[in-house]
Amino acid sequence: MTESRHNAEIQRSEIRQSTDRQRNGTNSFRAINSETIESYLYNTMHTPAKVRPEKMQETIQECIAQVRRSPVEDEERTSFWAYLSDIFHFEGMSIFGLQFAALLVSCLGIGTIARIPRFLPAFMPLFSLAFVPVLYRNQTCRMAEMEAATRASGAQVVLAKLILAGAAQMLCMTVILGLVISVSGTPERIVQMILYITVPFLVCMAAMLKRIRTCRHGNMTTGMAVPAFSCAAWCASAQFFPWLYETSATGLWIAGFVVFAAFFIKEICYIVQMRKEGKMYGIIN
Amino acid sequence: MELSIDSLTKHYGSKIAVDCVSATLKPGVYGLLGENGAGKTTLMRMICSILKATSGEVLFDGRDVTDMGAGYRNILGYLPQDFGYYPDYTAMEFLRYMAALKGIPRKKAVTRSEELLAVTGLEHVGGKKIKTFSGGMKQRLGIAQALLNHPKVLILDEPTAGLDPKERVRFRNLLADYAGDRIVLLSTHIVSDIEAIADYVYIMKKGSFAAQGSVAELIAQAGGKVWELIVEPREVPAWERKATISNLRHEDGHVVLRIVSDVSPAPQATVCHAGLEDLYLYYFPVKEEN
Repeated sequence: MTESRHNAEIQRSEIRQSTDRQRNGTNSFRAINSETIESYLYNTMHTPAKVRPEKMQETIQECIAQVRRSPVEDEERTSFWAYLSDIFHFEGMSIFGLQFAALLVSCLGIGTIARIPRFLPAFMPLFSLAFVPVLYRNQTCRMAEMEAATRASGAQVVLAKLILAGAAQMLCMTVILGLVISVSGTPERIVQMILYITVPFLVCMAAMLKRIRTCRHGNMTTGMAVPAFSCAAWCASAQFFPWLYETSATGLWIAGFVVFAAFFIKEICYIVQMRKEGKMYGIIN
Repeated sequence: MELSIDSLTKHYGSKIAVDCVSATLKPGVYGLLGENGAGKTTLMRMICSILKATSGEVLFDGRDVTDMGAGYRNILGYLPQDFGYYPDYTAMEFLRYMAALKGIPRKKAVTRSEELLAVTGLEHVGGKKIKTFSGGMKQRLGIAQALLNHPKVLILDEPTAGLDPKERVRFRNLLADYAGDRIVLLSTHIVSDIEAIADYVYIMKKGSFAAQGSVAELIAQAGGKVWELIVEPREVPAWERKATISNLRHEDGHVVLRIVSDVSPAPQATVCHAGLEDLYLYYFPVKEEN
C-alpha cells in the first residue's frame, strides 16, 4: 500500500516537473516570438511600403465590386402582389366604382340607341374616361412627388392602377358584349362586336399612356381630352362613314386591332421595365 | 455610409437651375440655405432620383442612385416642399397607404404608423380625416410619412414651414434624436432652425454653393461685416435704401441699426458679433432682391 502511494507521489512529481518545463519552454518561445513580431512590425511600419500600382488598382476594383454586391437594405419588403392587394384596399373602391358607373351609362345608351352595333365604339372611351380621375389622382391631390420617392416609384403606382382597372374593364366589356348580342340579336357577328369594343378602347388607352409619359404639362383636364375627343370621333365615324361598319370592313378593324394592341402592349412593357428598374413613369413638374 | 453628389447640373432649357454642384454627405444633419429659386428643391429632387440630372451623378456608397432604383428608395425618406393629401383619408389610412408604397408589410405598417403618430403628436387625431387638419398638423403628418421606413437618407424640403414655435422645437428634438447614424439634409428659410440643428451648412445661390461649413465656421466668415449704428428716426429710410439692414430697434428716441457690410458704413458705426442670419443677408442682400 505504502509503496504504491510512494510510486503515485513520484509519478505526480514527474508530471508536475514536465508541465513546468513545457510551460517555461512555451513562455520563452512566446517571448522570442513576441520580440520577432514587434521587430517585424517596427520594420514594416518604418520602411516605405512597396506599392505596386496595378495590384492597388486591382484591390480598389475588387473593393468597389464587393460594396456593389452587398445589399443595402436588411428590412423585409412586400412582393408586388402584396403591394397590389394593398392598392386594391385603398384604390379598389374608386377604380371599380367608376368603371361600373361607365358600364351603367353604356348599358343605358345601348338600350336606347337603335343603330347600336354602329354606335357601340362611341361608348368604349367612357371606360378610359372613368379611369382618368384615378390615374391622375396623385397629381390633382399633389401626392405624385411624395409617391415617386417611395419604393413603388411612379411606374409601379401606374402599373398597379392599370391592372386593377384592366380587371374591372374586362368584366364591364364582357357584360356589354352580352348585352349587345342580346339586344341586336346578331350572335354571328360576335367577332365584329369584339372588335368594336376593343379597338376604340385600345386606341384611347395607348394614347393616354403615351401622353402621361411624354407630356410635360399634362393634368387631369388634358388627360380627359383624349377619351372625350375619341368619343366624338367614333360618333362622327358612325354617322358619316357607315361603310366602316359593314362586314366587308372587318379586315380594317382587325388591322386596327393589331396596330393599337401593339402600341398598348409596347406601352405596358415600358411600364413593366420601368417598374423593374424602379424608375419614374411620367414627368414630375 | 456616404452620399456623394458629383458635379450635379440641371438645365431647364437655357435656364441653369443647378450648376455643377458637388458635395459629400456622411451621417449627420446638413442644412441647405438659400432664397427662393436658388435651386434647393431641384437639387433635392435630383438627390431623391425623381428628377433626372442634365449631367453629374449622385452616388450612395459608390453606387449610382438611379441604377440602384428601388434599392435606394428603400432607404430614402422624402418630404417635398409642396405636397397635398388624399382628403378622404384619415391620418392613419394615409400613413398605411404610404407604408404600402414603401413596401412595408401590413402588421409592421400599423405598428410604425401608430408610433409615428405618437412621435409627431398626432396620436389623438389618427382616425380623423386629413381635410380637417390645420397646416401644422399636415406638415407633421408629412414628416411622419418620411420616417416610416426608418430611412438612412432623409431629405426634408422646408420641413418647418407652417409649424408654430413649439412644434418647431419638437421637430428639432425629433430630428436630433433621429439623426444619429443617418444622413439628413434639410432646406429651410428659417435660419434659426438651421443654426439649431445642422452640423454643416450649404448656402446656395443661383444654382451653386456660395459658401459652406459648420455654423461656427460660417459665422466666423461674417465676422467684421456686421455693424451697429445709432441714427435719428428720420434717417432710417435713407439707410434702408443704401445698406443691408438685418435688424433695427428703437432706443431712447434713437434707432439702432444692425448693418451687414464689408466696410464700415459710417465713421461712428461699431463692429458687433455676427450670427448666421447676418451671413445669410450678406450673401442675399435686400438690395439685390429689390
